[in-house]
Order: sequence, then C-alpha cells, then structure tokens
Amino acid sequence: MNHHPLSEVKRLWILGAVLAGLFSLLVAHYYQIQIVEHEKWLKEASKQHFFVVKEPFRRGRFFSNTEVKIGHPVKPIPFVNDIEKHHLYIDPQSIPPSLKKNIAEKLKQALDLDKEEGEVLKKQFLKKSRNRKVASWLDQEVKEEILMWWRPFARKNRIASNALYFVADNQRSYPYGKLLGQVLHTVQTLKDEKTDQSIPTGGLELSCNRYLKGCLGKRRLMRSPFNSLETGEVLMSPENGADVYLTINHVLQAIAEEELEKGVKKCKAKSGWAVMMDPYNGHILALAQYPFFYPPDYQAFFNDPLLMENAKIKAVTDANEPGSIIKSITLAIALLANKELAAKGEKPLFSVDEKIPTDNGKFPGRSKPIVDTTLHHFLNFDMALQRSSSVYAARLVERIINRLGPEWYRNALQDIFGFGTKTGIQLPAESWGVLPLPGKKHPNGTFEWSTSTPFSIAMGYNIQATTLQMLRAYTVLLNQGKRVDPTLIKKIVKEDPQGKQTILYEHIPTYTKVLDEDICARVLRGMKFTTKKGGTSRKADIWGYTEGGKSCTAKKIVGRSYSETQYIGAFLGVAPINKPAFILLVTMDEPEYGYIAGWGKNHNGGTCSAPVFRDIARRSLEYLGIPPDDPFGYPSGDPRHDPKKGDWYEETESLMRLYEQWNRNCI
Amino acid sequence: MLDCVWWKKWYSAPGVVAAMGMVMLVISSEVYLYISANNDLIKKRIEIPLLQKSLKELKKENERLQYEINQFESPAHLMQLLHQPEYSHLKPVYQDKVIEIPLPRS
Repeated sequence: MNHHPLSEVKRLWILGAVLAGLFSLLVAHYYQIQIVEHEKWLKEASKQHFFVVKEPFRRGRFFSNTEVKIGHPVKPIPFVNDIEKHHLYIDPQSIPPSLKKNIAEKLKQALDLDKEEGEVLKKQFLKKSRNRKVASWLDQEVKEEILMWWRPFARKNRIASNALYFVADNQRSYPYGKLLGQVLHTVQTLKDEKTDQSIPTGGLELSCNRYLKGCLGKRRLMRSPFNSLETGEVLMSPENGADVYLTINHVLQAIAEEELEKGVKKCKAKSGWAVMMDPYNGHILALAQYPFFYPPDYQAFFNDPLLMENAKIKAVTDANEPGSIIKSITLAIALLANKELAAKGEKPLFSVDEKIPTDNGKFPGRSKPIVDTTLHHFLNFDMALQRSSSVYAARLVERIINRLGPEWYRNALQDIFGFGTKTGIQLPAESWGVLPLPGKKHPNGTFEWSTSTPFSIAMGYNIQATTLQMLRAYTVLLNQGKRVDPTLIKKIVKEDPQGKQTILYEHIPTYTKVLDEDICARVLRGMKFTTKKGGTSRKADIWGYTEGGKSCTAKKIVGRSYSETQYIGAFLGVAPINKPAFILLVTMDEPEYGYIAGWGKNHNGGTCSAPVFRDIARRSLEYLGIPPDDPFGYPSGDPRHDPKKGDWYEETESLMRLYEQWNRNCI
Repeated sequence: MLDCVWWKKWYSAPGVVAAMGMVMLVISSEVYLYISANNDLIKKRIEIPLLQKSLKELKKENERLQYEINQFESPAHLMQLLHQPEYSHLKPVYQDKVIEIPLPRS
C-alpha cells in the first residue's frame, strides 16, 4: 500500500480539529449549565431531591396568677396548652380496590367508630383523590396502634407505605376542663387554610389573638427512603405565640365556681356569676359563671340559642339595674355634697347621726311612693345602710337635687364612680351600661332623665351597670378614694426560638383620685352593719373574719314593666374589712321566687347570694393564708362562738338600741 | 539513572532507609488517624438528626405527661380529695406562720 505522508498528517489535523471542536462545544455547554444556568439547575435538582415541610408553631398559652399566695413558690400553671395530636389521611388512588374494604374495616375498629361513621369512612376510600382526611385529633397511642398494623400490612400487600399517613397538629387542650371556660373561650376545630392560624370563638382567645398567633417554621427534607421525616435542615424555626399571664388564680377560680354552682342550684336560679377583684390594683382574681361553658364542646353551645347564652360573660356583657348595691355610692355622694356645700360656706346637706324621717316615700314626679321592705319611721346613716332603706337614700338625693342640681348628681355618678363608661377590660362585647342623660330621649320619645329619675337612681333603678362597673365603683371606697380599672392580664411575654423573653405588655394600674379618704372610711364603716344583727345580709357573715357589704334584690324588667316574680339577687362584699384582700360580687339571675320557712325570701340577695359570698370568701381567705381577724365571730354551736367578744358587737348593739328607741315610740 | 553514584550512596545507606520508613510510618499513621477521626465525625453527624428526633419526641412526651399531671392536680380534683377523711388533717397555712429564709449568697 502506498501511503501519502502528507494526506495522513492532514487527516490527523482534521480529526484533531473536529475533536477539539466537539470538546469546545462540550466545554461551552458545560459552562452554560454550570455557570450561566447554575441557579436554574440547582433549583431543579433541589426540587427533585428535596422538599420543604411546614413546622407547626405553638399558639400562646394562658397562665394562672400564682403570685397571690404570699410565701409560696411561684410556678407557671397553664389554663390552656397546645398538645400535639395527629390527623389521619389516606391516599385512595394508591390503595388497590380489592383491599379498600379491608383497610376501612380495620380503621373503623382502631378509631372506635359506630356503624354510621364507618360508612362515611368507607366512602372516603372511593374518592378519586390523593389525600382524604379520615380522622382528626388522634392521640399518639392511637397513631402507634394503627402504624403497627399498617406497616407489615402494606409490605405484605405491596401498597405504598404512604398510602396511609399522619399529619401532626397542635390541639388546644384544657387540663382543668371547664375552669374559666367563658373567659378563655376557645378556637375553632378547623384552622385557617391559608395561614394555618387558629380561629378564636370569643373571650380572651379573641381579644388576645394578635399576641397568641405564631409563625410556621420551614424544614427541608431529602426524598430518600433512609431519610426520616423528622430530620432535615431547618430553614426557618417556628415562632411560638406569646404567653398571656392572667390576674386570675386557678384555685380562687375553682373555689368560686364550686360554690357558685352549689348556690345557683340551691336557690334554683336561671344562672349566676361571681367576680372577685383586688381593689388595690384592679386584678380580677376570679370570674365564675354558672352554667359553665366547656370550651371543647363549643359547637354544641353555638348550635343551641339557649346554651349560647352561657357562652358569653354576663359580668361584662349584661348591664342590669344594680338595685340596693348602689346605696353605698348614693350615701358617699351625699357626704361629698356636704363637703361641696361646706366649701361654698353653706349649711351641710345632712349629718350621719341625723334622725331622718323615712315613713313617707312620696317624691316629686313619682306616681307611686317609694316603700322600704319594712316600714322604718326614722333612720340615720348607718341604719339606712344596715336596713337598706330606699326612702332614706332617695331623701338624701332629693336634698342634693334641691341644693346642687341634677347635673351635679349625675356628674358625680359618672366622673367619680365611672357609671356609663366602659371599664376597658380585655374582653370583647363589654357593655357601656346606662346612665340617663338630661335632655336625651329614649327611642319611644320619652326623656331619659325625668323629675323622678334621681330618686330611682338613688335606690339602683333607672340606671344600668355591669358587674365590673359596680366593682370599679367600689374600688373608690376601698382604695382611699382612688378609682382603679379592672384588668384580666398581668403581662404578655414572647419567647424567641433562642429562649430570649420579651415583655410585650405589662399592666401598670393607674389610679384616679376622685374622693376624700374620710368619706370612703365612713361609708365602709356603715357597710359593716349589714352582716350583723338587724342587717339585711346576716348570711354573708364570714366565720372568723370581718367583712362588710351590701345586698340587692332588684326587680327585672319583663316586657315593658317590672316583674313581681323575676329578680336579680346579689351581694357585694369586702373581706377583711380593715385591709380588704378582695371585693367580691355574687349575682343570681332569677332565683326562685318565694319564702322558704327557716331560710327567708329565696329571691332576696341577702338570702340567695350572701351565703355564696360567705363560702367563697371564707375558703379564699384560707387559701390566701390570711389569718382570721374575728376569732370569736363563729356561728353558735362552734366552741369559738362568743358574740360579745365578736367584731362590731358593741357598735351593732348600740345602733340596735337607738333604732328601737326611734322606731318603737312611733308604733 | 540507577547507575548514578549519589543515588547508590544514598540508597545503600541504612540510616536513610530507616528514616524513610519512619516518615512513611508517621505519614501513614497521620492519614489513618485523620480518616478515623473523619469517620467518627460522620458517624456523629448521622447521629445528630436521630438524637434531635428522639429529643423532640421526649419533649413531646414530657409535655403530654405534664398535661396529665396538671389534669390530676386540677384544683377541682384536689378540692374533692380534700373532702375525703384521710386528708381532713390538712389545714390552711396562714401568712403569719410562713417564715421566709433568704438563700445564702453564693
């Protein structure tokens, strides 16, 4: 063979050039993939090999106020907590039709479903879907039981193991059950699909929702049979919601609920509520309402209009005519009027020892005279409080109107005691109450304030106030003339994923000085007589402790007139009277009307609510560790009983003698 | 190249061979130790997610148990227990009977 040396070299050059060209193309393509389109292919690869899952966050919790018990360890006690539960899903398209019935039957047993629920479950397997939720909020034990059966079953029948799977979720859980149900409320079973946030149903869950919300975290997982779902790179840590530290103490709340339930059942009332407040800082220590609201059963309450009534907090939403409880306020305003007139250099309105006639209840503008439950001919300041005289209170207000005018009286009710203004409690739907305004008309065209209105207000009618408004008004008397707004929240604390705490809100009480100390002290002195001999609320006498208070028996408006059989019976009390640990208002809505031999008029506040006050107060004082300050003030039969050594004995006896002297001669 | 004089001298010297052997040994040991440490590190890296997982499970279990303890210690339940005769000896402790002892300064 004859080879031309040049042509061989030429071919080699051509081959080399072609290979070099191809290699250059390869390099160029490689450059395009690795450098120019780097991000694109990285994303594509990540998509194929990794996936991102959401990390659930914990919604903020509510904690009890454990600082009220002095000298005891303070530890956080939650009223509500998020507990991890599991939702069960199936992938019907991955399950062979021949096995669907078998699997459904097994799940029906494991989930303890009845026949009807079992049929619904079977239908889920027939859906043309890749994911159907078949059970919600399952416990860890149930999940493990199902997986123990499922894994070998799926292997044996060659079904994809993720044809049945669980998704973890945090469920709102209540370790103390119904305790504080109305105040806490709850969240809906289903969360917002877009944000994965819980939807509150009311109460503090609703009003604190913006603090309780958290943020979902993100975790990147590799698609690999060896890669467990629980491991992977954390892209973003979940951010838990802020925790709310309440002013309510769990034990005081439990005591109030237990005694209230007993009290409502005993007097056969429609419902009842009790609110306990620290008069110095406005902390609500207990807020009980019966019938109770059990948060996990919220749907049952919302589907029944009668039950729905029990889901709201009546102490905040319902403004009622306060009745005789307002008389202490009326008398305080009369004492203030005395000072006002003295400052002008005028004669005082009255004296606390003045013998004021109370047998004539006729007042300007009233078609019917005001009558007391028992006819009293003459009363003084202490007797009027002790015996709850409406005529005495109205007579003082008559003098106020005549000397200072109705505007002055109304301003005192609003500016000093806060009637007609909201308390600002951190709960939804708080009522303003009603304080009539001169010149303003009702929807029916009649004036809110007529000639007779101030006399009605003097005894607690023609004015409406919520329980919290009444408690706030009384803080003026208990706090040396300083008014304090109530609060349910002490502080709100946010903890970041690194454990660093930030206080988002802290309650600092604000005091408004509105009344002189001597006026407050004088009214409180008078309130001590109500639970003693001759008083309307002897059943409120706390064994071993001093107390003071005021009861009310207010007729309810039914239709357009006052009912003769439907009442609000309430008692507002303070204990111990010299250094109050709390102020407590117990209200019974529609106690059974009538007289019970040996017990008294059942619908009277001094009969239906006063004993509940006594029992809640005694147990609460013992829990708080407050030593008895009336060591002889026990019921007869108790070895400690000695009425002559009991608190306020001399003063009560002296007042009784004076009362009999004034009124016996008139009979 | 093997015929080179300096190479022969160097190659035949016993001290040099021993030195080379030592160097080889040291290098091999270092490499072995490095690989072994690397293996331990990888093992630990594999264990971390598993430990994280079990830690997470323990935390959840702890939360669940704490929830059950809280249920048992609910004030309503404790008050029920208090009514039973075996606990009737328990009396409230008043503030004036509580002595607070300050902790010694560390």
